[in-house]
Amino acid sequence: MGLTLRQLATNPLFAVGVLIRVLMLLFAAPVVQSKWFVPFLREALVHPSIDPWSTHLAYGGDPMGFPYGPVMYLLHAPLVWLGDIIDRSVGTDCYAGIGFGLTILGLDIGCLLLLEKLLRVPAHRLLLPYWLSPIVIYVCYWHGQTDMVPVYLLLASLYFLQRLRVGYAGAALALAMAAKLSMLLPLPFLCVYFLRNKRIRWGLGRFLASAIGGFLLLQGPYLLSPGVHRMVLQSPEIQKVYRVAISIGENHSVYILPLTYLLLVYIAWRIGRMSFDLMFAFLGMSFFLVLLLAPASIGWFLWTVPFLVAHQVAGGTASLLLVTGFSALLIGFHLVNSTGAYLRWLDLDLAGPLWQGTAASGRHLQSLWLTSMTAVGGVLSLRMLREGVQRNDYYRLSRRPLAIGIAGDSGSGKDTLNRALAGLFGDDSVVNVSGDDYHLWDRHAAMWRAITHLNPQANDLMAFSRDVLSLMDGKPILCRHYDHKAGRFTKASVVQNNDVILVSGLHALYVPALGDRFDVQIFLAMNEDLRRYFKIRRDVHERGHDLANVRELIERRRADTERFINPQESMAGLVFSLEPTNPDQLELLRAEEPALHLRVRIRRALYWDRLVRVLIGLCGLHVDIEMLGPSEGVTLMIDGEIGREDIALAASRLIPQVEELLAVEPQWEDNMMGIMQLITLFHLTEEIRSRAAE
Amino acid sequence: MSLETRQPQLLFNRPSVVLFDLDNTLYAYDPAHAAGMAATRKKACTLVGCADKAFDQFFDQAKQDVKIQLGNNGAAHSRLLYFHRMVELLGMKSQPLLALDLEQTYWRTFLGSAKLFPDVKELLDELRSAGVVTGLVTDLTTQIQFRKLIYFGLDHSFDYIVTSEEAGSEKPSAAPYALMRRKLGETTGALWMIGDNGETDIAGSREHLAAVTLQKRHAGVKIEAGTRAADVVFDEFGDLRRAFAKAGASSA
Repeated sequence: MGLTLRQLATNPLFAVGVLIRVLMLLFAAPVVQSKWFVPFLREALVHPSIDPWSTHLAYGGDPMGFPYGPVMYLLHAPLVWLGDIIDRSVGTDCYAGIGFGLTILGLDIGCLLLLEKLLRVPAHRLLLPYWLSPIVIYVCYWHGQTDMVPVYLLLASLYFLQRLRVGYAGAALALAMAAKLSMLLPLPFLCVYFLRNKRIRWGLGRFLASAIGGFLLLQGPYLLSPGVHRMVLQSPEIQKVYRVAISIGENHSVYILPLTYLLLVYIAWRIGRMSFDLMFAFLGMSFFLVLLLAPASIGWFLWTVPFLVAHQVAGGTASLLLVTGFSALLIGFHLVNSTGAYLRWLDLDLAGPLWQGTAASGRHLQSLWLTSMTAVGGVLSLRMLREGVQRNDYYRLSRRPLAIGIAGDSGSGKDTLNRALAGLFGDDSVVNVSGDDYHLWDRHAAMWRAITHLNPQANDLMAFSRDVLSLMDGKPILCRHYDHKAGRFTKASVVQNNDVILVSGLHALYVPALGDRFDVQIFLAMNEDLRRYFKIRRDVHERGHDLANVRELIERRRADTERFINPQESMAGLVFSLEPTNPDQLELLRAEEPALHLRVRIRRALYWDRLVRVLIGLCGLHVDIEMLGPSEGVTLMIDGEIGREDIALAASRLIPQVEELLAVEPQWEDNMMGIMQLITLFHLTEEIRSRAAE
Repeated sequence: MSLETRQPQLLFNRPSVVLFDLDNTLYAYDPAHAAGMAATRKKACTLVGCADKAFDQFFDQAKQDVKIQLGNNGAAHSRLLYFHRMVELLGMKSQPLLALDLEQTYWRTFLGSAKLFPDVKELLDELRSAGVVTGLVTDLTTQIQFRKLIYFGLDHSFDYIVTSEEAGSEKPSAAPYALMRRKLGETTGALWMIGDNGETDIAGSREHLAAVTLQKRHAGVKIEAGTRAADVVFDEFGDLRRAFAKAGASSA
């Protein structure tokens, strides 16, 4: 952060923002601060108390004096008290107010630095949308609201959440809620984010314990205070929640703001798994809609600023213009209707609203103004949501679970690749469908003497396709499982759908209607000698079959392989073929893995150039490229050794925000299996993107 | 955000060649190096069981030993040689696997932390589309410098590249600049050299290529006087893009 500030120090836009703020701090004494907040805080020096709210009222203070919680009080108190001491010693009446403003300025700079981290953009790109935002300058330094405190704490909470430091995220939200009760609003959305995102669901308990526990610890004792009841809980600010209502009959009303809010929480739930960026956009949109549908105080609009900044950073000129238009309408409206500031030393009183008339024509004009503002705000909300959805959210882009189909002959490595991919996405996010579960008969059936597993007639491909399509449509299935050790099927059980569906089997790509629905179709076309080596090693040593039988079966199956399995290669977008670097190494019963290189055929994809550059440049691998023609794609021969950390680095370079897609601690593999993980993931994201673009 | 020059006329005309230094000119070297060293230190201390202080002390010693052994040469910057020697100094004799592991950890973390300065890519694209020949004159070993270029996506951005390893000695000696001159062949018009170091980039290119010198200024860069003073000092590559666009307009 120090580095960012040093870089900003030479930026003229930053200097202009600082100058505006310092001048306003020095000259402008906002009415709400000089009339309410500062006198309230000063009183603690005259009448020290652990319950300043009750003491304030006991000495005849204004009930509007400080409608905020203890965190807001503790944050502002030191500099106001310091200013008050200076005021008393030099006989002035301004330094306590300046002290109040300085706390806001500090948090304002803090928000700029947090936004840099949260939005992952250099701070200088935030100067126009945030640092020179008219809403920030007007709300904080002219109107004098102190919403910067909860906004900073909310951003701190989101910052920790983005880094999955959930305890800190909860603590920061507890502080925000204890500073201002309205910061309870994001809590349900954040809970939905945890609950619907299986990769981080584990963090919900810790987050809630920290957020609610911290809030009760900070706020709880004060809930017993009559002063807090009167000044905070019954503040007119809270009553605004019920101001916009539709009358139902003579005695009842439907309150629009709580209704909209509950509907938005429901929509968030229905959206399902969200990336952090989408959650951020959704939170902003929800805040915004809620504020537009209530007679919101100007301070409340500060809550939306970080989200408007994110929108402007991502959205370009149109977003900048819309936000500028909205800011102008908002500030214009409040300049006319809200209190302002007294200009110190210039002795200029601009404290009252510019228009204090009651003429119906004036009110009508203002209502039209408000309507325009709501319309622009509504457009902005929708754009914020659209941007959020478009920004790298793989699950939302595909609008259904991600589905990967892996076909290949027995012993070609389907299960290994399946496990490797499950390790990337995380077991919590994956559902597996194995073609073996759809064999018609168990191992002991006489039919296998007449027909091999490779024959589609020995498999219930209709049930297989129906089940996979059901999972793709988000529905659970009822499925039995084949126990390879016992050679029998288990009882059928319910399999729930999940974010990622990994389908592997001899015929995973055999049915075109199913094959077309996969996000990635993979065919494993292993070198024949190597395939025999792996199959014998697995069937004999892991599954306990007889070596001679396995050999005989391999021979018997060869014709069916050619007839039923290999043609699926033409359906696959990705064909992986592991080949022994040194065929002499394929000696049975050797403990060490034979050295392998990988042949990858990529169809219908233009990304191979980027992939090759990273494989050679970053991973230090040897890659030969063979172009196969416009519709046939390209074949890459990849050779070399690579560690899992380097593959993880390559993934982060190739796939923006890859962490959103993967488990919190993705299990990358070393060498060729890691390369297969990387290429599958890259292919998947590129396919989703190009489909979304279509 | 500024661009300072005592001789504004130097920027009036578009150059025909623009040469760049890589490290700490196109990206900030110090934060990436610090991150790389921290990760390597952590790994080494876990694997070998040495204290952080011992790691730093032996690493410095190893670096010094390698430099004395190899002198003014690109290989004298080889992290692999530093870690190889450091492991020996830690009393573990030669451990090729450990040395390689530490080297890979260093560079992986280094690259993961290195961020190109804003507008670098845009400037390079604009130079090339304006027909200006671009080159890179850099110290360190070719292998890692090429990896950096690919990582940053700049491997297509330079017409010619010279590393001190291929030149035989480092900047500011004549060799890398002379080799670049040979690669460039005959050129007409001004040659700009953009770098961060007053001695190696500024004084070196001025002496050996009669370059117009431009120094990138950011945290940690020393602005010097005399022969090491650049003709132009700038903070952001955006400033340079604007100066280049302006030079184009006045040339036209």
